[in-house]
Amino acid sequence: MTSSETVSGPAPSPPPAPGSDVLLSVRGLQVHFPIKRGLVFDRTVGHVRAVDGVDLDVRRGQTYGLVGESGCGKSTFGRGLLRLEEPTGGSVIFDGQDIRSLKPEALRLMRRRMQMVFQDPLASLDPRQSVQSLLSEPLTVHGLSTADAEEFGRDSSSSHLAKAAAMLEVVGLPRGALAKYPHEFSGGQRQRIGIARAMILNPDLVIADEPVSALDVSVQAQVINLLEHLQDLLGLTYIVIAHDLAVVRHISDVIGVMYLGRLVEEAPSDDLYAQPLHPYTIALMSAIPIPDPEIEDHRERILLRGDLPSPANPPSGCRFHTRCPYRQQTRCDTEEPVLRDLGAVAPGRRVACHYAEEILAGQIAISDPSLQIDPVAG
Amino acid sequence: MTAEPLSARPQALTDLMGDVGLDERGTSLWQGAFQRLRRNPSAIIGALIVLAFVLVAVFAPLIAPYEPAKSQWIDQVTPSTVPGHSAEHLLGLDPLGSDLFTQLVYGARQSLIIGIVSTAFGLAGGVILGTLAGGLGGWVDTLVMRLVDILLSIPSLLLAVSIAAMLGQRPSAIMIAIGAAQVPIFARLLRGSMLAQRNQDYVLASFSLGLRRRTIVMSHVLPNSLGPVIVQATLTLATAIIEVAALSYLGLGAPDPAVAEWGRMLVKAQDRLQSDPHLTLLPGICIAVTALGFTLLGESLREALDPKSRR
Repeated sequence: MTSSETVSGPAPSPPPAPGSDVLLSVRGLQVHFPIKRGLVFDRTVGHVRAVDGVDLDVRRGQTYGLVGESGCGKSTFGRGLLRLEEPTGGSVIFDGQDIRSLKPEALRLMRRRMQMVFQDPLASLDPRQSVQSLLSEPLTVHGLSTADAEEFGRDSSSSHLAKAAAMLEVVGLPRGALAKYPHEFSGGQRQRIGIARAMILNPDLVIADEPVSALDVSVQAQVINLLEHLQDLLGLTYIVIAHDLAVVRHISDVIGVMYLGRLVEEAPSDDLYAQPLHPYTIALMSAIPIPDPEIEDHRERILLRGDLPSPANPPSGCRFHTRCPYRQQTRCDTEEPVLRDLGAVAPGRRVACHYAEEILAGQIAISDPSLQIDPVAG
Repeated sequence: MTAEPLSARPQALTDLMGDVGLDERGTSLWQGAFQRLRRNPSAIIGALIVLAFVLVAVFAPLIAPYEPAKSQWIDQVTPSTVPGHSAEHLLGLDPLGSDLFTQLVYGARQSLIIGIVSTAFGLAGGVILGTLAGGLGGWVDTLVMRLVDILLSIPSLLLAVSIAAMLGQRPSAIMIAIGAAQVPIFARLLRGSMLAQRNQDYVLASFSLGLRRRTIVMSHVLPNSLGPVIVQATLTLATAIIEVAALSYLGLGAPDPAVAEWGRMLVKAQDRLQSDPHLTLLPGICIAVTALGFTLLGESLREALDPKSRR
């Protein structure tokens, strides 16, 4: 079984030319992990299709939010972009360059322009490195010393030190933090260090994989605000991966919703929250509590039954049909919906559902009443 | 601790103020481990025993009243009796007519040299193999680990005996033999530790920062994986000293029967166990106490380096 057999829908739009408005263009990206069996000789008995054909464009200066439940492949997608997990199909065009065709050394140099902020700030910092070493290592590796020497100091080590201290100040930590080690900081401070390390190379694109989900709620807002501040300051483009809809809404310009390795809906942030179109997004949105007891008691909520199906053996047809409250008899379990433009019905939005227009128009009701929580009893 | 009032402050407030404490110096993992070690009584006992042992070994010529391995009082030893305590000889003579106290003191030197050299040899071999397997992965890993599995399937003492027998009766042979028997243990431990570290986010972060694989393995993965190996080395020193004694007891040590070595002293004394038990008891106690010292030190080092014991 080859891993490149799935082709999603009609020919996707061609990737944009270099220097255009679009910084990152992903076409049909797949990351499949082989499932191996056997004690001595490994046999591949199948693939976990963690990411299975994702198309998206990220514009310069924009924040693209990627949401989905655990296991939907959003983190793997982020790692696939940087080739931290090697993609098995599709293309990633970053500023006109095909990331997947880069040789190891060229890729290594290209990584300076694409940085990552990780979920667990303690695990993503080497416990043996002082903050100074953590921040100056990327500078040493990429030899940024000569260019910065004029600005920050004479020799490279003192210019690294000055730059590290300046970066710390930007993320709101005192200079004294340079001599300390990651375990001596609080969670929020550690994440600031992680952010400083990602930003010190002056990247174009930053992929933030659940940047605040390991933090206390009180600290989350500070880190999100810091990310926004840095975006304005450095002209960054973000891809923010999160499962927290509130976090993504706050920071994103465009939001993509992932389900089982695929993008099921993409829309400008405000539109998506005002009127979700895909049944999965509708269900996700209905899970957000509304801080008004009157409305909260009487609003309609949709219950998603069961777990995410196995990405090693995704359901036929629409991947969501096993849990979809709007499932129809005709096409849902046989024909796979493509991520399509809705045109005049909902401009600027893409949905992968056969019946998006009908659901929007209210022509299809929830097929199984038991999936809907009774507003009075609930 | 001056940090107490700081940690009592709510975390959000600390974050808001960006305050990381008044002292500008950080505490690295090893510094923290050393501070915990100093507060652990069993570490102190272990360290004292090891220190005493090392001092005795280093200053053996100053402590011992006579030259070692000189059977100059052999005429005083009869087949049934050995002279006990006297004014000239604190612990009496050994069955070959040397001063027992001198032999014990110089025995510490032998044991320490053999223990350290053989453990260093095993550690070096194990670190090289383990780094190859854990750092490169793939077929190198498979090859190295199957080799290690084969070595591990042979009991270590048997392996050491075979190697010592093969290399002949030389003092270096016994060190190589004991070291070689330890290589697979270190290799396997380091590989496992490196595999665990390789899946950590900071390794992924290093890749995404554009570090070279070699740099990541050598300056990030390896240093973070060495903790358990160093603990194991401390514990292995104790085992090595016991194994030296065992190999000497089996007659695979130095060819000269009079040489001062604790294991050999046990052999020489065994047929006098009934009449003069102190001849076997004293070197035996020396071996046991030294091994205990290294074990205590190793175990407390393991505790101190445990990430869970961090604040």
